[in-house]
Amino acid sequence: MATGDPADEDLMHAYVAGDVGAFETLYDRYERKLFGFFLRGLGDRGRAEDLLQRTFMNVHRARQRYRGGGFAAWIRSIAYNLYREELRRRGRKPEAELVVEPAAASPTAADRLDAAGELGRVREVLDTLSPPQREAVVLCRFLELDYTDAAALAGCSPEAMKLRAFRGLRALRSALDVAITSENKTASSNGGRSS
Amino acid sequence: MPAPTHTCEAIEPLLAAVAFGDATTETLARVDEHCAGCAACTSALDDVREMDGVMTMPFVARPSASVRSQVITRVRRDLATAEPGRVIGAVLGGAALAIVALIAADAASPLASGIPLLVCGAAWTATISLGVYLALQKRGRARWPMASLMGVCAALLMSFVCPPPMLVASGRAAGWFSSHTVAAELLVGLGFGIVPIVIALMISRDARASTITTAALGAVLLAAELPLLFAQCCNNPAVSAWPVLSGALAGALLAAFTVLALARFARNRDRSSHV
Repeated sequence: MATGDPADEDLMHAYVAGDVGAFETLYDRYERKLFGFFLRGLGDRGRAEDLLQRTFMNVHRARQRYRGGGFAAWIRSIAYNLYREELRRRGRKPEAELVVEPAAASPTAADRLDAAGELGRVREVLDTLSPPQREAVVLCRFLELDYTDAAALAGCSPEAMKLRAFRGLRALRSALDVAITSENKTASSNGGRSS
Repeated sequence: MPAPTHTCEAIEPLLAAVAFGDATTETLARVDEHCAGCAACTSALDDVREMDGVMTMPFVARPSASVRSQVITRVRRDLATAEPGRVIGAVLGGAALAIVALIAADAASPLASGIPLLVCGAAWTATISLGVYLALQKRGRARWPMASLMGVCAALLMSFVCPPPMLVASGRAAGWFSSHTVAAELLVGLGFGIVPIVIALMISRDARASTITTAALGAVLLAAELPLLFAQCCNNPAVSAWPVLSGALAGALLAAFTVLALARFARNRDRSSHV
């Protein structure tokens, strides 16, 4: 957001008063962040688009109940509730394969490819984490909430949330190592059989 | 490698602070001191930092353009139909509440003078309801239930002083109280006023339901009281001047508020269509 741009909260008030243009600005600010969250968390582009749409429609329906607090935390909590609902609905079973488009900010093409591969595996091993650690990773990294807002959603202290995120990322790293090792073994044994 | 100065369990929260970049100088020093003698914690810190780098990498993936157009189209259409409905709902809901309150006043108050007082009171309450709604909307907090609640409060005040005669008569016939006492008036008035307030509060999460409920309540009570009111008007056709003048003033204000509300709605719609 550039200096001088209206704050999210001001835009929300204008939108509640009937200004659809303010809603469009809010949509453009949060579209990519929330889509990234759903795509990382669910690994399904179609469902991610559907939940993105539902998030903004829920904002629209709940606009009269908006009490003027932090808009970013509010819309992210709506998105997170939809994400949890989706996980419950599908019984925590992963669906389609994650198609990741990494950021252009990565230094080299090789790095981007490596990162894309790793991010694709992240979703696959996410379910191996304990529920509190998985929740911390989803809230603090996928949804990019700060520790205070994430803690408020999860019902714990910010310090506990930080520790859960730390342990979750560490566990994720270990799970990824195991997954990559297993893939390499499978690939080499397949190569051995075919040769 | 020197022996670590703290246990790994004790240092873990500090490792988290360092990994996520919000450690104080003192915390950094303690972690450095511990990691100098602990390969496991050094490795854990590196792992988390590396993983964090991957996880916080921004996405360039975007949803298809149709998602945006579908959301914006639905919101525009919804606002276009909801806003005039709110204005009309504010006027009608307020008027319905006022009619209920005024029926009560007309039956028991010495100031009552039939239909003119009824119309005058309805216009004033509708004006207040719409005015409150517009004031809230101006501050970006448009809440019809709040405006509706103001109308219900008016009904409560009126009913405390002058309870609906048919309710009192029914109570008397049912043997709840033997005569038209102050206590009976308060009792019935309290019930008459509190019930719609509780309903409005319970459903205030839904503006449309609040409007419909309050208007329906007013219509039902009006239907119940109309025969009695008609009979009273026939018996006492005298009309004092003040309700007529007051009603005319309220009517003018109400018309101005309605024009203001519709103009504001049209302006918002034009603004959004040019974005």
